[in-house]
Amino acid sequence: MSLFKARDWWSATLGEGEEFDQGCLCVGDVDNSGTGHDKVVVGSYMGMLRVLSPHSSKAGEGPQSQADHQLLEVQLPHPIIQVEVGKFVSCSDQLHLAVLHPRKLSVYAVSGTAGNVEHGAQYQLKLVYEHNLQRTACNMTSGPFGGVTGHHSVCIQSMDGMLMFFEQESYSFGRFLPGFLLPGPLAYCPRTDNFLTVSSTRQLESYRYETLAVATEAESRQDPELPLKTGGKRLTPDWTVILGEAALDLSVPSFSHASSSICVLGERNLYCFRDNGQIRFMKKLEYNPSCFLPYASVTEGTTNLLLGNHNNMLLVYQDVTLKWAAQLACVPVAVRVANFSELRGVLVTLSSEGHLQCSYLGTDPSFFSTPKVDAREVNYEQLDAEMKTLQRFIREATRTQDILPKADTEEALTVTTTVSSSMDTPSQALIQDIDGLPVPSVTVKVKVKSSCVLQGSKLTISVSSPLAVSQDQFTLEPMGVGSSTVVAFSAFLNGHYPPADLTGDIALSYSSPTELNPKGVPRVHQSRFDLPLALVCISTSPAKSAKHKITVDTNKPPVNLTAVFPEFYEKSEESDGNSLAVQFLSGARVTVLASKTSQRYRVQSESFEDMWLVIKELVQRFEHHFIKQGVKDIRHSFTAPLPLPEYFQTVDHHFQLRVSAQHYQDLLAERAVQFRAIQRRMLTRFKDKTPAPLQNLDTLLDATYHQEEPIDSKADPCVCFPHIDFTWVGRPWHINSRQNIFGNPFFLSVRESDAIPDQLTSGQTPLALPLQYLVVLL
Amino acid sequence: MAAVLDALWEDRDVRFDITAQQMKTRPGEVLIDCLDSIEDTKGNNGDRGRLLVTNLRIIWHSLALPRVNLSVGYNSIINITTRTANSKLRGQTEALYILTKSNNTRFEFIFTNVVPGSPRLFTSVIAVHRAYETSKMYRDLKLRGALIQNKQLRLLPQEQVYDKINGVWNLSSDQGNLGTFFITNVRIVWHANMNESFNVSIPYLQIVMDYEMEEKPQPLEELTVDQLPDDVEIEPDEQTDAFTAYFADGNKQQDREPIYSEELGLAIEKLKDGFTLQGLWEVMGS
Repeated sequence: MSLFKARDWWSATLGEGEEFDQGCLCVGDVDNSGTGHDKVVVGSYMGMLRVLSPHSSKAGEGPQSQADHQLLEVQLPHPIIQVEVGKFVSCSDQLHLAVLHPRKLSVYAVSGTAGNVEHGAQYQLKLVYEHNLQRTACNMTSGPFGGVTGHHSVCIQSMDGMLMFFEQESYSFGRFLPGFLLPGPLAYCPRTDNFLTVSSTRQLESYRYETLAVATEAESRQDPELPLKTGGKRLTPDWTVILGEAALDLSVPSFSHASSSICVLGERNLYCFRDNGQIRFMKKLEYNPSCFLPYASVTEGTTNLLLGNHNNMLLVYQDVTLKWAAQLACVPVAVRVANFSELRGVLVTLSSEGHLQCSYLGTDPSFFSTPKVDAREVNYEQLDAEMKTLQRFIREATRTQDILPKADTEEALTVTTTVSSSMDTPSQALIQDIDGLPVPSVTVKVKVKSSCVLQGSKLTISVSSPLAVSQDQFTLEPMGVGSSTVVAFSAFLNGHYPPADLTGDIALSYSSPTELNPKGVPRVHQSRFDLPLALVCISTSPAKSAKHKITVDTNKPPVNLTAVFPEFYEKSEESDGNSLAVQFLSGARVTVLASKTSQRYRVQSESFEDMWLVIKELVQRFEHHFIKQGVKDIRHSFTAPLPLPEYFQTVDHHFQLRVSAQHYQDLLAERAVQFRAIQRRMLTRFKDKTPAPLQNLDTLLDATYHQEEPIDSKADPCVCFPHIDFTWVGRPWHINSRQNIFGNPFFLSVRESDAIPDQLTSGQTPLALPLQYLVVLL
Repeated sequence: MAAVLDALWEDRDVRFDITAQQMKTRPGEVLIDCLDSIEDTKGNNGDRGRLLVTNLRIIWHSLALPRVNLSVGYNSIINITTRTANSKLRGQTEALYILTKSNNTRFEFIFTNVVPGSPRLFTSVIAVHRAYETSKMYRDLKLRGALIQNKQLRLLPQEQVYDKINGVWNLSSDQGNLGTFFITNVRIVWHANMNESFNVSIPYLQIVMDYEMEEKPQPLEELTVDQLPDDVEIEPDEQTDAFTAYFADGNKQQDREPIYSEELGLAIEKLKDGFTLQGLWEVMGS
């Protein structure tokens, strides 16, 4: 419906914070200029009376040009309820202005004197007469009451239902409306000389002027002690029509004598009646109306009317047909049609805040569409880049929840581990010596440097058994940004068998507070360190022959072993660089022989499993050595068939040990139960108040104890042995690091190691399955 | 006089893509509020910008491209309302609607606060605009107003009468009018002694004094200077049609002239050739 808009022809904002309503607007040639052109008269509830003469504002004219549109502005001492233009002065046929105040009716003459220029014209407001009212006025209507010609009388309805009639300068009479509760709109129909109102009984009532004139004098009702005037009749309406709703406005158009109609604007319906109260039509309104005005009869027998509503719309009806609709800038409380010198048929609307607008109906439909902006060139590359960054933000935002901190690109902390190059003196080892060989220890320093605030940090060290550390847990003080802490501990061998792995793990658990989570988000940092080989073995003299041999081939010329294992040559005198022998503190001797001619290294030992650490160390050190020299494509390979029999033998041995360990454990448990049972019996005997003979229970206890002892000593090494074999079983994993055997829970504890290069395992993949199978069996 | 009035365009005009020089506050112009994160929902939806509220106008400019801007003078504002708008940055949100009219073209502006829950945008702009509206008497010429009551000037807030001169003629009509002159710190007011309603209030802002000075003619040699022919051509700035985004009525820049329609008995906008009121209504109204 808002396809068309009312086009602004002239507009003004009247006053500041003034209030206006239905009766505050009227148009007419109030200054009797003789041109017949209308002026707009506006009164406000603040008592400001304005007379304006709108002109169309031409383009280019500044706002100053509007200054001369105002003909008159007068501050009256009382609020203005209604303004009317009419012939209100008896001895004059000129138009005068009637202004209704709550307790006063004033009639003014507006006179203009032309000047040389537009702004030289002066206008004057002269009071012709005024009536002080006994009752508070609500509204008024005017017209040639009683059919007089040439001048207009005024009828004022008071708030308490009295109609007061004024014949120009004199008061005629007053009459109370019957059954009155609240005042409704009031209109005079000159054709039938009737007064119309919509009463609180929600019906349209019509009173003949004659009936009113001869009815009971209103004043007499005021004073019940006074006798009723003779001849006074009870006032009854000429006719009534039930509307069923309160009316906003009432109008009796008089543009043509042929069309006799009375228009009533209800809250939800529009009615049109003939003069005798017969209904002509009724229009149900689909909106909340605010004002209306029958303005013309374009076609004979029809009434054109304007209807404003609270949706800022102004609708044009011809009887019940909607002919046009236009959108206004504000809700109109009063509407008039005015003829100005430049334009006829201008719509004059007034809003309650004082927006006075003279407009005409726009005939260009305005479709709501967003117009394109073409002038600003678009940088597509920049937009593309922005789009990408935004999408990245969105992805990140959807991935991480609010409470979690953003994944930092840089670590919140750095942990650096330094393993001392020399052994501790004195050694911190718990076992002082194994088979006469002193057990060394090495100091490891861990430096924690934080780049954020850390709370509740705990550092945990873990080395694989039988290695041990002097302290495996550290509680760190809360750290600030950029601060660092150093903790030191010693690592040493703490068992009678060689370890499978020389690496140790550091886990640092901490919490970093965020804005949302002041307690901190728990986080873990992990790092690892490598312990020196010298921790678990010492150098010794090479053995010429050994049971188990493994040859490692390389693609690089032979390396002097003294350069690769300097720490093992410190003491020994014979440093030909071709052989190296280490004695594990709790194991076999392992000899490494470097070939003088070929690029081969032989590792040999009496114990198959003990060679692992040396081979691992050898390959690792060779790689370091060559990388330091700038050689990159170093390869190690193992050409001989895999020493599977030895491997299986070890596995079998381990299995045997486990079985016997289990056996001894069971036996031990059995004996322990027996021992405890004897103990219990003896205890009850001892506790008994009447001493009884022990019945050789003490002998039995002693015997059980002696039975237990050897089992204990047998079970002990068996319990230890699995460690050796576990580590050994772990080795196939090293060999088959490419095989995915994570499905086996046993292997989850085994670390992936890059110690043995993959070349060593080339062509050996079929081995993986049976080995794995064996492991599962274990 | 016209030149001087044109010079003060800040509160009168709606301008688009103004230069950095024009964005600066002119003498007497005071920056009242500066709001960051305001979106120009109508013309630059999805673009973050800054809104500057001065005592004469509001300026919005894009933060990314400051040359994308607009300046809305308070005098051009017809109406300010708050309504629900659809913003790319905020979705459905309360927005500030400003309807303006500048050189017979109506523009509509919609501003949205990107930071939720802050009514400062609305309160600030509406309050400053109201202050501008209510202080019109200090700036604008007023003719035949309710200025005088009982022969006394109705003073504006903080206005002081410096002098009252009786017997000043207004020569705008043939016989002239004898009146009284009030000189205040804001304006001068004249009213006819015989008719209080015939008066004029002229703020000093509207007054341009004409001084005539006698000058000694300069020697001719100084006046004639050899003028080298210009070989520089000044190209006009590339015209942008940025303002089209802000038309209050679609793509329509100006209304057609009004005529009286016999059919409706009302004034209407002149129809385009080949159109009839009924045809237009039946197509559009159905």
